[in-house]
Amino acid sequence: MAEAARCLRRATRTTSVLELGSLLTQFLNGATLVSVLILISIGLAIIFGVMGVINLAHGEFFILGAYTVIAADALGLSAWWGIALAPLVVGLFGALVEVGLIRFLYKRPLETLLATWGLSIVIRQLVRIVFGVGYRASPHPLLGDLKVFGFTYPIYRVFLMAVCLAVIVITFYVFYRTDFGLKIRAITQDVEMAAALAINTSRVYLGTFAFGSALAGLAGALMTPEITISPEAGVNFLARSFFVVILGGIGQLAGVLGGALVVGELETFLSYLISATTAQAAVLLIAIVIIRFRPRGLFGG
Amino acid sequence: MLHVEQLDTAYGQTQILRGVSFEVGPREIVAILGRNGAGKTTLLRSIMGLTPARSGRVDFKARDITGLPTYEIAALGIGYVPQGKHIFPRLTVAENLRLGARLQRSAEKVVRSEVVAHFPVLGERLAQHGGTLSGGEQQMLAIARGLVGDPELLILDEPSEGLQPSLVEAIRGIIARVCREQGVAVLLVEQNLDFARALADRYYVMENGAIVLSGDTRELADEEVIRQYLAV
Ligand SMILES: Nc1ncnc2c1ncn2[C@@H]1O[C@H](COP(=O)(O)OP(=O)(O)O)[C@@H](O)[C@H]1O
Ligand SMILES: [Mg+2]
Repeated sequence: MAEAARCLRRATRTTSVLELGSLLTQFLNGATLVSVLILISIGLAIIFGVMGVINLAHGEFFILGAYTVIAADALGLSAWWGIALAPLVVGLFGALVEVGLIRFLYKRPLETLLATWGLSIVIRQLVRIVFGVGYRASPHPLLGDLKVFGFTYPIYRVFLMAVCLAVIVITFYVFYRTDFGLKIRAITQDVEMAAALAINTSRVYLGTFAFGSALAGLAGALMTPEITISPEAGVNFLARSFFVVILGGIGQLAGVLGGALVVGELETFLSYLISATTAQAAVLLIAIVIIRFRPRGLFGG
Repeated sequence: MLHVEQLDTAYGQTQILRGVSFEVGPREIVAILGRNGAGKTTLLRSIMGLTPARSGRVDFKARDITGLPTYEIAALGIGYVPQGKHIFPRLTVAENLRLGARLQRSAEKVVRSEVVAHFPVLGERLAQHGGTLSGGEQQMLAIARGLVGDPELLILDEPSEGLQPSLVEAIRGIIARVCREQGVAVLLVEQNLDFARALADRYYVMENGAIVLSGDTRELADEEVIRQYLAV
């Protein structure tokens, strides 16, 4: 009898350790999604904050990053090269888009919305033509697990989070500690006054759009081994980063962090309990409810 | 220094400026007077390229600046202090000033510059956000920001608007001192006649988007003129 009770107690303890482990795993999975969402959403948010442009092709910039890794692989370069090249390639592409398209649509939000939506279709179609319609297997740069106190976690995801963290820190540094960042913040607050103080607004617009695009491209490249890459994969991420930016409160970089935390962790934990699709729908619903009661975002004044 | 010739400006279908011509000489302080809605702000915005003119021409330092983008016009040496101040509310006082100095100098140098020394109240608030300043302090900041880039021409749009009399007097004194000291020419838009009279060498009166009168401010004591063009 006593023997049985002891067994039971031990079993319970093992279960709770297991549950703690899987809880931690879920949390880290969430954190992976959170860090990638931050990368994508920062681009979306600063492009909107600075230029007033809602870039509906931002999700396609994300998949262009992923396809950069696939293209690099096809050229015989390693996945590391792909990840390193993606922000450059997509940033350059973003710069071309700004000069060739967005620049003509300043102060015309509706036209910009239509134009970037059109651009997203064009990019998707081009990707289909170049890479084919189906899912693409991609090279995995870093297999294996990190083991700490008997707890294991894929080492690549740890790397992914570390890169995102570094890029986020750099972005905040640029934003709050450099002259370029000061120009960006000035333009966000009062574009006419910024121009009247001799700030070359179109050059800052170009830099901002390229920078935001590069972040989306890097996010896509980092996610290549984690998701199934298809020409349509960007839409999903565009939608999530919209929730993030709206939840966080438009116009604040710090809001993006909070918004991403809510969307990423919520979705991960919910999909642990219910199906992934239902989880995404539930997150959307929760976001709508929150915005109903806090229209300026969770962190908006 | 500044030559404006036959400027026409419209918002959509509504013509606001009708053939405005005037000039500001080097080191000169020129006032533009006129009632609310006369088109004074629109005139300054057209000079700055913020509301481009339909026709006409603006020359600055013998160079045609009509149609140039605003940032290029500003970079030629014009400090602009718009109506309503337009300081950056979520940038610190020091950051506002650095932008005024075109980011050419470090914050420390800007803060210790001769111009900023004329605005002691700003020196105590350097780390504060612009939006937390009082109206008078914001106007001080806007003017300091306009001057700290060492412009050759300072454009002021109703700097005395909404300020209590003691502050108006303080601002007038600072503008007079700094601009005479640094040899900055000033284009001043005002509705406060005493303010304009105390500061400016010459004046133009605007009505319905056109200049209807001009002269030497020392002769601007005529009650008739004031009643006809300036009184509400
Ligand atoms: N952004 C605008 N759009 C349309 N009309 C404007 C705009 N700004 C000013 N106006 C009109 O132009 C006229 C001149 O305005 P403004 O230049 O501000 O005059 P002032 O500075 O002399 O008071 C006014 O009738 C005003 O209603
Ligand atoms: Mg006005």
